[in-house]
Amino acid sequence: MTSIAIFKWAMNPHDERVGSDGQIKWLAERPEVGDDDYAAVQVARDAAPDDELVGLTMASGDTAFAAARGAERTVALQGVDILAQPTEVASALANAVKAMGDVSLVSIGDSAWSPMVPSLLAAQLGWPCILAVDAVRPEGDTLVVTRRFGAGTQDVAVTGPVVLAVAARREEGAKPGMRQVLQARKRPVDTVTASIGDVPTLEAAGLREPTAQASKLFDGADPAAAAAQLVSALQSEGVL
Amino acid sequence: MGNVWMIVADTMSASNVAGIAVNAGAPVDALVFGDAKMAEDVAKLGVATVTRYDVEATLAEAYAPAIAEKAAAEAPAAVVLSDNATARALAGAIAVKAGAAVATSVVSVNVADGQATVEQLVAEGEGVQVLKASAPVVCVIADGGPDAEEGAAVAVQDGAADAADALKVVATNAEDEGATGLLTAEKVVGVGLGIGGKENLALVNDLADALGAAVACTLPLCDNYHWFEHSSVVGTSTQKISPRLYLCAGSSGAPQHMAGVRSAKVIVAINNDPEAPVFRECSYGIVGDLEKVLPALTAAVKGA
Amino acid sequence: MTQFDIEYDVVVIGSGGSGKSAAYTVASESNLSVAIFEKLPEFGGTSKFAEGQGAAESIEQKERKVPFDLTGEGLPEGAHFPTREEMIQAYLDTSHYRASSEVVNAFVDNSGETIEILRNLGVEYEYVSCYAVGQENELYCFHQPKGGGDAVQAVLQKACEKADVDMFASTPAKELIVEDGKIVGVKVNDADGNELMVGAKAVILATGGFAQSPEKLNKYTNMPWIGDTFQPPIPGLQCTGDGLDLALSVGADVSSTVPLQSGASTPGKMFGAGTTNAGLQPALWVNSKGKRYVNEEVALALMNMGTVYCQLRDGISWTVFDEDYLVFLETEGSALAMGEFLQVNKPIRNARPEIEENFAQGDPTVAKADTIAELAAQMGVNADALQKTVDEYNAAADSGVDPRFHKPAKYIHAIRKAPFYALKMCPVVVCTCGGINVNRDMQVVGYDEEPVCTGNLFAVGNDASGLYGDAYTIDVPGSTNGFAHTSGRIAARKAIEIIKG
Repeated sequence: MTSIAIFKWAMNPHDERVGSDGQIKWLAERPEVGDDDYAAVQVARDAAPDDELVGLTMASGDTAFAAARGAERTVALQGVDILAQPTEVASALANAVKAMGDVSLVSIGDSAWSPMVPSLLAAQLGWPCILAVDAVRPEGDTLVVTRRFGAGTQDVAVTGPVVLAVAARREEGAKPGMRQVLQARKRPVDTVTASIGDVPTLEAAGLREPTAQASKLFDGADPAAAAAQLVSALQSEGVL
Repeated sequence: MGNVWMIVADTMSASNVAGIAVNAGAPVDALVFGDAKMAEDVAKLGVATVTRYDVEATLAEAYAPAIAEKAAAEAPAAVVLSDNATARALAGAIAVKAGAAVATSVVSVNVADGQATVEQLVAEGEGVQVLKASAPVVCVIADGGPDAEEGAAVAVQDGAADAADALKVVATNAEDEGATGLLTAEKVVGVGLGIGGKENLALVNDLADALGAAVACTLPLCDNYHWFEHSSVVGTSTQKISPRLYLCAGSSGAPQHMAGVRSAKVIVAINNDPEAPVFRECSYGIVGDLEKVLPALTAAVKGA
Repeated sequence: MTQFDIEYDVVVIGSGGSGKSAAYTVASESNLSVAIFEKLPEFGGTSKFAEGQGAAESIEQKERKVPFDLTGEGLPEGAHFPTREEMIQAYLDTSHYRASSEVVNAFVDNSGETIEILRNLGVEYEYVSCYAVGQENELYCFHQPKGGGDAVQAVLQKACEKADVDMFASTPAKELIVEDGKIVGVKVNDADGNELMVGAKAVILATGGFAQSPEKLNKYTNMPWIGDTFQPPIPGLQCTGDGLDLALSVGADVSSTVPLQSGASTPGKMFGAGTTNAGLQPALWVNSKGKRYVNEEVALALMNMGTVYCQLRDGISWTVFDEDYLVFLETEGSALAMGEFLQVNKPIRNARPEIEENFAQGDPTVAKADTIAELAAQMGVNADALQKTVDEYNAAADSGVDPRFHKPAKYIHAIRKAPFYALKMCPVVVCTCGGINVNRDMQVVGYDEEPVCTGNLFAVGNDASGLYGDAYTIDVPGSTNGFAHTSGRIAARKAIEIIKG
């Protein structure tokens, strides 16, 4: 049985710019390591310690990230356009997963950079998914998944294959040392051309300037009113 | 056919989601995965119908295949949701079953002749891209959008759907009382030199308690005033944190401090200087005297 | 023959501005492989805390044409962006030709390109001007980046990552690997304590000097007490002269008069603290014997003030003033400028609250009393000596003439109105600026001034000597950070040339 940890798959939105020609241009050429990637690898390892752990990435360059954290081999997908829409990215990943045969679990960072890909991936595989995952523990035939829920957490028992989108709570603790990284680079990497199915996409129909945002600064001359406005805004952001 | 769906799985973002959905120019069907109160609140937001799915005995995500089938059958032109985890899980299933394209950071949806045109923020808000759908489109809205206006409530219908049995709730754990350590805290209140006298720290602590937040400070409050231990300092040479909410009071926004909190999802600043650099780094702010603003905010949070 | 765990063309030791500049140059101007080894868990070094870069005839200066007016009250007559010749001459003049003309010319000639490269990578420059307004003779060569040094290092780091520079944190370099008189690599320890042999065709030392090594400070600065009297203002840095040690191991020539970038501060606090802002003012300064020791107007020339403080054998100075002076600071403001922390004539509001708070906490760096005798007791200085000093100072205030040190009358405020304050100050060493002697290509040289080994060892940034004599050049603001980024590039280009043969 195989578990797959997906890493370095999303473009960093910080690199997206509007060019002087009014078109979107990217300063980066490839996806970046996400803050959650190390946690996704950790969860895949914890969920199925006896499985073969395979790293799956859409990046070029250094692809040893998962191998340095326990993956036995890595598959690197080539050819996905940096402008690809979430449905296309998910399709490329789903087809790569399907090509690997007996997969019991896929983990991926629950990244704010591309928040729909994890659930699209699951749906394209025909599997359930759980997002905002903290940690996992195997219990016999089931996997108990702890995910963020409101202000606390919730434990969910999962049977069968599942996609887990992991949201790291903090930076990686002990990063792999150089020896571990060099050994990881010796592990096999299969570079595979991505296969994207015939998935729905949106047609880009122009770029415009954003409308002037309503002021997000509240006047504290009336403290109670300003406080009320702020609380309302924070509630709708979901951070209160 | 051609309606707009909205998926609601939490109370906080419902109004923002409705703000976009209800202005799309088509009747809105709200699917609520929560308790009766959540559904009643949604019912007042100008939607045409509200269907509530019970999530006490069933995990919301377990409804995904059934809801996806419903979407394929009813063929909404657009499905609107916030970035809430459960909503996204359901929306992914919907997108694949209903053959929908997907857009995120959406600021508006417009349905005409059953087809949706969507606008999304790009380049970190520098531009707005217009996207045309020739099929249904699933839209995750951008943060900070307008609220829907409240009006007369429609009736809430009970939804019935099969639940997949691959997922079952084992336990629900309330927020851990002791988990307000700075590195993992979801909410943090930061204090800077502008706090004034030491007695104002009490105002900060009151707000932090009301929010359930940890307290952090800038380096001078530790090194110069010795009001905090080093473990409370956030900044370039100390700790970096990424809470969902970082509210800083009395900090002008010095780069060394802001570098420690830049990953926070939402940054709020309270300062009496409208020119303070911190106001260029925050999502929201209150310009005013923090001795008055902090207590008002504490009261507002408690009453919320 | 050494068995290597991995081989690179170029190995850079240290991940600050000079190291990353070197590595980025290799990666972007050649197809050679390059790796950076950093001993701390985070990349960035001292450069994260730098303010701006000094340069002449940069693209920014050409576009802006006139320096930015920091005071808002008009530039002094004749204010202009310096030519390269003027900048070069400033280094030579202020060092009395103890600086190396080779190093000075190499830096200044290439300094402008540094600004353009950083700008192309995404650094935005807010203004180009001088730094310490009021310090005469300062060149208008200081380029202030938006977000300060932290932002510049973030941009450079991202550029290195995108260019596939291998970067290893928590991986200190321990030894140079030498075979038959040739440097063939570096021995490093990884984060887990494993020893690894790294092959290299060129090694660039970018370890940031030795400001965190009291032993080296005592040994290489011609001030053999300084290691015991100074305090480092920046927590977390660990520049302990690793580069110097490696260079010495292969016969490098090192300097014995390494200059310090120094200043003064309240012990235990960073720049910008209220007590530091007041303590830096050109009021009355007394040493631990209760005696005046310098014309306090030197405060307006920050680096010179640092040099003065560094020469205090016990590192103790007290800034003494009265209540009227504290009010003066709160209304008329600072006599000196210090970047973002202090502006000339801008009221200092954070001194009094901090003084009161610290005094209430029993902090020994703040003395406050209604008589000079009590003040002296709190300070731990001889009361008679202090009284005598104060009396003489007040006489100078009354007459407008300072016979002891010729301080201008405008900086002499009488000390008569209680309460009296004394703020303890100490020397602060931000970084050392030099150590290893290099030639114009930043190659490490031996006593015979020829490159050591086969010329494939380089030293850059604060590891390299030659830009200064025995003191930081106060008239060229942004020297250290400008040199860091520029010297890294110079060394990298030479390394590329040597390797390609």
